[in-house]
Amino acid sequence: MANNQYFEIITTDGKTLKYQIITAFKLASTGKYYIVFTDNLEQKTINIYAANYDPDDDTKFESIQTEAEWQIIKDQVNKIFQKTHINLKKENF
Amino acid sequence: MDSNNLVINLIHDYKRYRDSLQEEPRLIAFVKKHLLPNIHVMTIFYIMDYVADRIADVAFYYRDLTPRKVAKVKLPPELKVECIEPDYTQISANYAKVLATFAEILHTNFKPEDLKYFYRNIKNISIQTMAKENNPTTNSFISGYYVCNTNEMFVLENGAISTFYHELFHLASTYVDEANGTIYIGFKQQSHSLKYELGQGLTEGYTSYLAKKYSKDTNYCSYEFESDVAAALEKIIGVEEMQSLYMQGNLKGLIMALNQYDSIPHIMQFLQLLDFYNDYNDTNMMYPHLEDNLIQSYLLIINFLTRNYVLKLKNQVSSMNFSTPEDYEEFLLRQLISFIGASKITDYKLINKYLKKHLAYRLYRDEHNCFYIEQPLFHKGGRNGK
Repeated sequence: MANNQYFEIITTDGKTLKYQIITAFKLASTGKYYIVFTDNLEQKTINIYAANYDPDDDTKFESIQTEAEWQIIKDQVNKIFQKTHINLKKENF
Repeated sequence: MDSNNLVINLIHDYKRYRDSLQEEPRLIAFVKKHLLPNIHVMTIFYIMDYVADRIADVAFYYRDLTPRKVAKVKLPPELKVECIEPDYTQISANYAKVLATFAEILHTNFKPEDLKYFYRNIKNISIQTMAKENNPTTNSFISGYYVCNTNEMFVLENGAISTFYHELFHLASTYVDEANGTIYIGFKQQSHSLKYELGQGLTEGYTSYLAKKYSKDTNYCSYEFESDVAAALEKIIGVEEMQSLYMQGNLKGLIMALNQYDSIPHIMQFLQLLDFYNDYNDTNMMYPHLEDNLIQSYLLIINFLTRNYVLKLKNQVSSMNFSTPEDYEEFLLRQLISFIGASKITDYKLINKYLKKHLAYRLYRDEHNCFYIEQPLFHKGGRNGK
């Protein structure tokens, strides 16, 4: 996780929503910036959201366009969760 | 709940159960003795372990943009800066090491959000060497310069590192706003058409100050008076804030920071006087008719700095306890002498010329060999009698 970092989104109707960042990265192949975030990390089923952002433009926040990009995002998330997962050692059986 | 989520939830439950078995050694012993020897049970457990380990956690991906109606995003500073180090050998093989060292200095001494323009401009900078150039108008050598419109840098072939740093600080604090036709370089703001410009003197001064400070080149000598003024101003505003305002090209922020001590017209006058001094101070031979104006601007600048530093001191000491009023005055005086010493009145000849001509001021030298100016208690124009 990005060190338990949060960010806020202000909606067009004036609400401020807070989300926890799972990861953020830039893809060399697309040149785009991606942010992956959640609003319920402590729950059994975690909601994962993702979007494109622009470091220079606070108003730019767009949906992920292609399946290939989604697959990369899922791979990134899985890697992060695998690092934090507690594995039961097989020799206990 | 669809079948996919049902399976995922089932495996998630199994993982939790499996983790909890570590607390039940007797149960584990029972499983090992009675269940695992059965090949079918063992296979089922193996498959479930295999799948469970590969579904790191239960995650449900929302493909649609969430939330939908986004007006603005407030990201942490680290996400707003592309801190991906460029390959400096691709930028310039000759100066790759210097560039990398400079980047390291920025990382260590400045906030991440202050490095936005550095990373933007360094990507496509063109660095070229030049022969030693003598500026015909001011009779001083140019050892380097940065052209913001074309993002080009010119430095002397075997020039000092401090000079290189000076130009790199210009690069790191430059933003060209094509939309409104304004160029921001440190504390300087300039229109494309050059119709208006403000802050050149302070920008050159603070750039020289930073170049000397971070290159640790004690022999570096460029825009001396402006550099001393910038150092003194930093004492008023504070190191971190002044560095941040400079790197973000935020002249307005600097004016607002000073506004807590002085009025906007006085601050604007200070900036304009320093610009005037920067334009003409090196031209005693070229513009002799401006000598008095230079002296006046010099003194007004020093008085501006002193006045505002005293105000800052008074704010700071208001919560301190002094035994007597004399202790309080002595404390203020020592702080003031130290501060004016930092501004280092370097053009002593210019001051003496003014003193001889007008005899309106007295120049004192304290025990630290620093000069300061005090207005006398008699009429202006009278002799400095005792």
